[in-house]
Amino acid sequence: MRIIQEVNKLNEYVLQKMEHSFLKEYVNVPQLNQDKCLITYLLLAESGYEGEELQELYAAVMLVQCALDTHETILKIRDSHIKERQLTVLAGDYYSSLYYFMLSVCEDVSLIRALSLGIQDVNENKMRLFYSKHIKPEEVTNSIKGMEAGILNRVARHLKKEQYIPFITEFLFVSATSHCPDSLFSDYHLQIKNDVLLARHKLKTQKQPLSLKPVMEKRMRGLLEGPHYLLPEEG
Amino acid sequence: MKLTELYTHVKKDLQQIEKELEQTISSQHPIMQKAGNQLLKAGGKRIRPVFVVLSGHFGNYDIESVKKVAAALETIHMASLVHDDVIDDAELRRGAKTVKAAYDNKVAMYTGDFLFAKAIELMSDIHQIAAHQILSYAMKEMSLGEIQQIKEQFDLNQNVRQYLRRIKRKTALLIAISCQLGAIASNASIELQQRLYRFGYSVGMAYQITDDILDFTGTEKELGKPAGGDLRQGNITLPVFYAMQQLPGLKGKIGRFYETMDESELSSIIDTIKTSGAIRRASNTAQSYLADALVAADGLPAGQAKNSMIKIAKYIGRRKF
Repeated sequence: MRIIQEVNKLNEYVLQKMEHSFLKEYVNVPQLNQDKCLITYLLLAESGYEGEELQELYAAVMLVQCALDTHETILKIRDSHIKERQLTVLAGDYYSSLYYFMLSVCEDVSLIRALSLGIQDVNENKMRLFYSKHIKPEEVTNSIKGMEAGILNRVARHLKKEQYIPFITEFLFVSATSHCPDSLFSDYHLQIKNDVLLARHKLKTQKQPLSLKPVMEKRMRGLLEGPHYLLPEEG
Repeated sequence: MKLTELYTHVKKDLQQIEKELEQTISSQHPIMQKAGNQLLKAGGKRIRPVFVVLSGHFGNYDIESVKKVAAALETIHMASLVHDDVIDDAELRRGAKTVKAAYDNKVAMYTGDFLFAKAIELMSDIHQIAAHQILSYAMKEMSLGEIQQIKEQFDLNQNVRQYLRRIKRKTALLIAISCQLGAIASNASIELQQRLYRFGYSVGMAYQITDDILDFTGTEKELGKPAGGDLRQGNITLPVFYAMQQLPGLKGKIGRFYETMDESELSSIIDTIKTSGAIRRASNTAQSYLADALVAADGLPAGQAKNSMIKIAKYIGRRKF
């Protein structure tokens, strides 16, 4: 429970960083993905970060995610909503500049590099998924995994926690596809159906951060035992 | 004389930077690769890399560090153009289809984000933390400047100070830090870093004011778009401020145009601005910034780099499009 409270407090800090009186008139602040929040926090905590240092690094990672999520909404904006479109572009750029600024103040060039590589991974995977003429079923799943886990896998590698990468990848894949009807991936549900089953199976055996246990196990149970859009109800 | 003729002695280094840029924009996805190539081929003045290289000569010049900074800054500039075209809903840039027009807004967002990230990756090879603090601060200010520009669009009650702050963030800052970062990458003294920043800032201000003047005085062929585009989009620039100060009725006239968007009304407003003396006054302001740039340049150590910088500053003051 303490972890959830800590993460909520950190999220308030992230939202405070993103606060801009004019932007908020036109741009919805993206929802912080709770699974990504938890994984980021626990990776940092398990690496020995605490206090202000953890807060800054956590905020930087979440700002990157928010920047990408903000830009993802661009096609949903109606042509007539000009200011909304313009400010959606600029809000994403602004959040992105904030992560770089915060990490440069923390003098953490290595994490700056890791996140910039993560952003590249995410955008290349988005292009592969949404703008390829012929995409094979296995490429669909890999692209979704790359889009969802691209940032955090780079963070894990940066923190020398590579052992958790398979867990993060499968976990975020199952999580992202669990709400398929409204998700970005709804067009691909037939291709990824079996892969979701496989990922759920893998998740039961994969190593996850030790400190994740109390909170993550509950979330894992929810994800593995709860309803999933792509999978038929048992019985 | 062409701009490129002013810095022939660094031509080889600029070619290396061009190669670095080619590598930087490379992507595994064909559309993103094509978009990057198109941006690269469109050329542009490469004013930022030129200033990085020239400024680098005031320290212990190391092309490996300098070319990374130069390519990073140009990539940031290219990324911002891709996003600007979504903001402005632009179909063409330098005569070619924009990324957003060739594909859609989403591809433009992905491409821009990808390029920004590539630029930062490139910068991460630079170990002086000051360089990152300066660049990231500038990127934050550039975003805030653009947000402010949207906020102030069509606002005829804003003042010249707001305009100057806007163009500082929009244009001058990136040119100023191009000079400063070139010096930092070469470990030049702090005094020289600051002097080069002041030079770049003043040149950048003059450059943008000149751009804003040309938007009224240039022909459609020279500009690649109809004259008066800024005013049409609601961006109030220096010639408009000066003309409104000169002619009290003009503010109301522009206000009425913004209500009707009647193009014949716009032509009449443009003619009024052109004949009001505002263009000359704005041009004097640009010259005043250039004079500041020359004062800053005056204190630089003598050499080819200094001479080229002075020539570029003077060229910018004379440019016609």
